[in-house]
Amino acid sequence: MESWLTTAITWGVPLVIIIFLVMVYNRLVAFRNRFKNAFSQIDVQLQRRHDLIPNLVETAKTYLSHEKETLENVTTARNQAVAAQKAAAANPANGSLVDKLSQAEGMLTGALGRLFAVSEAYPDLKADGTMRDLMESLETTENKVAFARQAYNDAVMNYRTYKESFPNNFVAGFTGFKDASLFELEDPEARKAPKVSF
Amino acid sequence: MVTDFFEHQDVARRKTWQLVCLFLLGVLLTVLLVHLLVYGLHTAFLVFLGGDRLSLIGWLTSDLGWQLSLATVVVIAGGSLLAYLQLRQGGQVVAKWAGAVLIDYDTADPAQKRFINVVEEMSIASGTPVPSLYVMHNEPAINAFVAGYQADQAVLVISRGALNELDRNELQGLSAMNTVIF
Repeated sequence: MESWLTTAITWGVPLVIIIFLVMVYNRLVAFRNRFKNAFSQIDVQLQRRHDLIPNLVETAKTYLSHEKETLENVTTARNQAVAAQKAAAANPANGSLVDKLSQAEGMLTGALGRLFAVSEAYPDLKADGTMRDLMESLETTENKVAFARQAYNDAVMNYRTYKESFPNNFVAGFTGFKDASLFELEDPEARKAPKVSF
Repeated sequence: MVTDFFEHQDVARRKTWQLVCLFLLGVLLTVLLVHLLVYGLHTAFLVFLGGDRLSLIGWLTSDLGWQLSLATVVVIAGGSLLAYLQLRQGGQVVAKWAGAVLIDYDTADPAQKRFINVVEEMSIASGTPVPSLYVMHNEPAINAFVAGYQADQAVLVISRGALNELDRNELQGLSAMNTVIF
């Protein structure tokens, strides 16, 4: 009578633990794939953004012949962003790559902002049909990045919450699930306090 | 809280399962009720005329019983098919009836292009599919509406007036409202 109970416990308890570990692992994999998928949605939009910029610079060059530096800054920022984007797209589960991408895109936003500020003084540029189409495409792409970012950040949050909860954190640590980063797009210039002069 | 696209899918899948189970249960109950009714009438008839009474099981397994079950299921299937065909048309019928024209995605018209972009942005934001877009070219007033029974056959109709008069932010607000309504 005793022996089947002991057998049940000796086999049953490890079995239950193993099943639990497998379930947690699978759920971690599911959450990670979700945020990877959400990242690829952002990636598609970022790629479109990067593709629009050379056209924009070319169109603006004809009108902004005296603003070479501003245009060059945009091109440089864009090339850096492309490099960061390719690196992050290859491995979106690596938090530091996503951080670098956030920074690069922030710099690009800053450079574009300065270009738009400068072109306020050139009404011919704003009236140009090609320019208007490009601006609309750029605006819609950036809005889509913003919305796709929200979905990505939510997915990362779900992953993190699950991964950091007890006892999932043990499984995650054992099986090598890394931290994921939120995608924060901000213009580094915007952080500086504005100068007020009277 | 913004639920992401995958949570939408999980919820939808769970609901589908629940609905399928409930539907099958409903079909079973309907068939049983029909049987009970007919059996009751049949027995009453026999008692009146005097003759051998069948037990309920005897009735259910008799030839007439099987035919009745089959007939009930066929009627339910036929009705479901009719309803399904009706629902499939849903949104598009309303759009055509309002005199709206399907938007060409390759259009050169900047107002229409802007509208398409704005709706796509709203779809990404809400995690829902992009609805079919229609324009009422002859309507100068600012107006828009959504129609359709299911998310994947949704229809968003907008007036020419709205496309021309509203700026981008207002257009975004309009699309957002319609996305939520749907």
